[in-house]
Amino acid sequence: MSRGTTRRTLLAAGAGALALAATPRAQSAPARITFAWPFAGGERGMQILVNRFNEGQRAIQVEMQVVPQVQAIPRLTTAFTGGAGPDCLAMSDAWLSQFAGGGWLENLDPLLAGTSIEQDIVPGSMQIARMLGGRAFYVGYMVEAYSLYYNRRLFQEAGLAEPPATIEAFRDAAIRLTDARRNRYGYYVLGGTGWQFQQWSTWMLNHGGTGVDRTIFDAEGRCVLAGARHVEGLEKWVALYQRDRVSPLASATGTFQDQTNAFAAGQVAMVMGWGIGLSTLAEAVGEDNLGVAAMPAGPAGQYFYHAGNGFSLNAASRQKDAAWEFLRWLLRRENMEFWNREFGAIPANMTVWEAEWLRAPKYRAPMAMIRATDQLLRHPRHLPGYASFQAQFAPEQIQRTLLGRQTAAQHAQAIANALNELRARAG
Amino acid sequence: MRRHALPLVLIAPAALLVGAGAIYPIAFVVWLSGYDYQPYRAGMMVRVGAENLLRVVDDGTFWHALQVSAIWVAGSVIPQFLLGLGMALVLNESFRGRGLVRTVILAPWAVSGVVTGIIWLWIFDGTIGVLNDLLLRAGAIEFPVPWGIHEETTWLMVLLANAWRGAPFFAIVLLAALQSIEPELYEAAQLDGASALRRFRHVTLPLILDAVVVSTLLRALWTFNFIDLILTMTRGGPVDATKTLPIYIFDVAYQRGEFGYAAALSVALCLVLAAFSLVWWQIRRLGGR
Repeated sequence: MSRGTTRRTLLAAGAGALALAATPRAQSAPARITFAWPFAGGERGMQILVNRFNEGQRAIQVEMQVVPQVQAIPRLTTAFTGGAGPDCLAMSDAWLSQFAGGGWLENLDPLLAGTSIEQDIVPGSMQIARMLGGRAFYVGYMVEAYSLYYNRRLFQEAGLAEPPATIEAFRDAAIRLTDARRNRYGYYVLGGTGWQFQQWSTWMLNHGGTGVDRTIFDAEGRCVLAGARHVEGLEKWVALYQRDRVSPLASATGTFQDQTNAFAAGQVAMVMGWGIGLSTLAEAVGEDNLGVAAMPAGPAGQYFYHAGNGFSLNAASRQKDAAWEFLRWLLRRENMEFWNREFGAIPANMTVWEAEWLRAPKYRAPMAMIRATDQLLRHPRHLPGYASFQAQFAPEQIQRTLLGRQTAAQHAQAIANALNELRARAG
Repeated sequence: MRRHALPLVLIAPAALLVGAGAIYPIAFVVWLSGYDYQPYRAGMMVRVGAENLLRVVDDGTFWHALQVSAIWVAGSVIPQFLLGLGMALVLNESFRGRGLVRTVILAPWAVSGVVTGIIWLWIFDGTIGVLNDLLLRAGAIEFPVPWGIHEETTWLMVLLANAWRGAPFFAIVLLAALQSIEPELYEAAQLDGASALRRFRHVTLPLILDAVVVSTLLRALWTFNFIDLILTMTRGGPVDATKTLPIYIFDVAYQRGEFGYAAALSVALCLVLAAFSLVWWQIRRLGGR
């Protein structure tokens, strides 16, 4: 190669490099965004979707970051307070008050306004999404109802044809299902962490009724749970443990995981929990053996807790457009059907609800509860400090009550006081 | 001038690392304790001065958690030390298969706190636990024992689990100290007619005292701050019987969202640990070192 040719080649290469540099960035380099998945389950299905998205186009490339669920709050809080954090993330409704309250999540209303996404989302899910100031801080991808799970085989053995529909029938069934000598119990009176508040407060609310707009506060803003009828409901729930002995003694401090283990081992016939049970409990006792029913009704009616998970955008993200584009793609009908079917959850997208797999018996009761919008409870998840109330205060109180260190009335008063204080502090 | 500068240059990287990794976070926590900082409430940050620290003094949960932490530390470190010392004395002797025994005995130290918690929780589970199953099969009990609902049995559970995990640490440290003692000292003591107990009291103990003080101090500090095991096994229950100070601080910060007050609690915790360390360190003097 001559000296002149070398010079020409170098000049050409230099010109090419300059031309490449002058080309708009979007055409040459993809936008790279991060997507956090802070859950213990469902990771596999979501990774498949992320891979499909990345392979289907080149303009946006998503890196999925799995955050261990137990570390989700500390790790994401640290990241957000430092002005970092993922561009977009999956969220539990339980964390909305913390992350949206911190101003770290983007208000999605302007983005939703230009799309038809919201029309397909079940209203209960959007109600959760807008719990803070009426602004949507997430778009739901799954919904769940706090349900009664039961072991069909154990029911048959006890001569029970149907799940109990009322609190009284529940007690009768639990007694019939209990044989302490064989270490068999009708129900797991959950006293430890893992959403026990939903169990005993259902007894209270279905006995004494709800407050304004199915909340737990009356028109004056006072918590209704200290009412005489509510206390009566709580006494009946506590009696299942103390008097009727239909629950393992250890359940007074048992956690959600202990409850799942006891159900899986066939030692407990009925447990209560969120939608995760649709997959984990079905796996534990067999798909055909798992029965799912609505929470039992009381003299004041039948109310249900509902919740869900959704997708959020980091308000400080520099790639909001790309992140929203990715979330819009995730929220497509086919993707929502894929992930929820894979995980065994109920999609927030109602257009999927007619799918064949959602006609399986285990989905009937939770879907009916979610549809019953006039029976869905609105508990104060938006109040700052409510996470601590549920995780620390409520378990301590119910353990105190179950172990006979305070009465149901004292318990109800302590709970009402704590909730009134949270409300007052929120202003 | 250059000669004086060289040592400073040489220690600068280490000083920078210590400053960035230890001093800055501590200083930041002390600074934060003077604010009502609630990041979950739109980053609310109000200067409150010493108010948070005064609130700590009036906080009944703080004093309860401190008391629980003291039980947790004493109940953990004392049996772990005694077990570890026993293990070290055995492992210091010559016998066949000593290498294998050393490896097996030290294995629990490599297990994480969460895994240890799950293992022991499943052993003690009141419904499907192994221990209850064995006792039922042996006819020792008629019904499963709910270990986790009584304070005494709950403490037994967590302290046993922690002893299982922590004793090997003492075994490692004390074994190293024992092996540094010259055999001639024992021979001389034996010639003077000293019994095994007197040899231990007057030869072994003074010569391993440094290792004892340092290891117990380190283990006490680690145990005080160790949150994994209790969080996995009891979550602070029954009621609040095992709610240690770190568990309380975690709740105040990440669940109540009161980071300023959590910082004040951490400062109080730091002061308690510093005072404890100072007192403990004096034991070395009592030993004549």
